[in-house]
Amino acid sequence: MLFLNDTFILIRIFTFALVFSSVVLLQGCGGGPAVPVMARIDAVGSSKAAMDEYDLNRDGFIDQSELKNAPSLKEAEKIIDTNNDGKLSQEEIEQRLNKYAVQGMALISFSCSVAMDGEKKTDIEVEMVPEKFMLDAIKPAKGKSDANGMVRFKQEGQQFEGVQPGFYKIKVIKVGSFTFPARFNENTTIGKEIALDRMGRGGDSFDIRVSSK
Amino acid sequence: MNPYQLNRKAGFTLIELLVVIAIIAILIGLLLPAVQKVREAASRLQCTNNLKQISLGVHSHHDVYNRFPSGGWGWYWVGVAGRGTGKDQPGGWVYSMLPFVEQKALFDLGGASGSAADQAGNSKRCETTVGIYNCPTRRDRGPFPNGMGYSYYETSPTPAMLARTDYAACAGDYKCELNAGPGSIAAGDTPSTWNGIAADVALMTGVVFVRSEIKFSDITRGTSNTYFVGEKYMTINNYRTGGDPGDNESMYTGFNNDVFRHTNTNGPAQDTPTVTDTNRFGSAHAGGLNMALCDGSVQFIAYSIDPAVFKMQGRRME
Repeated sequence: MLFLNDTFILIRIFTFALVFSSVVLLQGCGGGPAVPVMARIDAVGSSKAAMDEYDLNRDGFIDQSELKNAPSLKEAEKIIDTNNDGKLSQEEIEQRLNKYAVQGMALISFSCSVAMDGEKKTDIEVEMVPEKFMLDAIKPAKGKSDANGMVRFKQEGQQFEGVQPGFYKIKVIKVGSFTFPARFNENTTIGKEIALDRMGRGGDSFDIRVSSK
Repeated sequence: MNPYQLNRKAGFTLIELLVVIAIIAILIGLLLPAVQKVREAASRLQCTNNLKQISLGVHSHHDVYNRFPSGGWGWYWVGVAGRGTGKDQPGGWVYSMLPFVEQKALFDLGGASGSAADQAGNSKRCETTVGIYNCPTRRDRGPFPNGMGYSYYETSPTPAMLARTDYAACAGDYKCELNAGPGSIAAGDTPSTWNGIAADVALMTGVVFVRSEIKFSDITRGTSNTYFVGEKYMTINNYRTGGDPGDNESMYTGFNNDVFRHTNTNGPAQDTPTVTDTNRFGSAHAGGLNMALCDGSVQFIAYSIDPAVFKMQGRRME
């Protein structure tokens, strides 16, 4: 005859067996590629860093003259500036960054069509570099133009094409051995916010025109 | 005598009960996946059948007009009755196929006169679902909320709900979306309006794209080697929300990535919860997706297909 103690042990064994077998059976043995996970963005830290970097006169706002130095914020100005006062506050930037978690995307497909001196050219290297204020929460993405001048951005080592949500500077690096002038490269004035709610109706691609001089 | 046996009553012990529960649970565990697999097999067959119907419809369309349906104008446009199925039709292939999938009444709803009744008809159609345009593995046919609050030309009131499709025509291996389209019917009827996108249109290699009028004879790679329509990739989290940028319009829309995809991607992919891709073909099925070819056949293509082969199959010419 079994004693009370043994009964408890048996209950434990049965419970474990049940849970284990149901997990194994229901999940099956299949497995596809690992699904990318969402980046963890520090909205408070990043919005503060954005103010430190771009609010040069320290009045608590990134105004129109300061936005000229921040192409990615300028590009997303209308959607960040929720109170329509024409300038961005730390709270507005923080609220915007918090939206990404609600949208729940790890990667968003994004492409650009690049023309050099008015012509489509193959092998132009374009890189999307996260703004410094993203605090390394997101990784850069790169691409090379195909024969039609299309660049599809992809992160290094990532199986899926796409870019993580966030603010980026877009640098046109080089084509073959020719390195583009600093205004397209190091001192680029092209910026872009990648976010799910901005990708519809043509938002998932854009045109870049560069010149060799 | 054992004192336990003295008081023993007829019935189950706890252990016996647990053993029975465990056996039942294991049996259910074995059975459930099997049932799910049968359900998925049935849904996949239904999906194959939907694409087959669409393929047959395309052939009927070709018999009548001697060309494939056109791809429509841009994302500000949905089907407008009375303007045929060629380059003058602002709506896309989903709209133009309606008479050939037994939906002639839906095709004729509304009109181009600009009257309130015509605009209301066009709006009503945006909300009207058609069973064969949805894959039952992924979702029911809807309609789903107009999450972005999008409106269309010649369409009033703005539809609250939108019919959406799980299938996309193959625009080739270049782009599956260009622009919003012209600002009015009159502008669309002016040939010079289209000069701006002529260079892009010249690079379209599929069988259906913006204002296309492709014939069987234009498919020089062979109709049995060229995709016509297939399943589009979607983000699982946005099946029903309209939040996926490749699934935010009405399915009767013109040339854009809701109803068109291209093959210049890293092959097709199975739906994921966290990756949005508005270019790719893909599906909710495990292992592969259904693609209808121009010869009317439907093939189950593995996700592991060589991306270069997949890219080539999207082209009507070498």
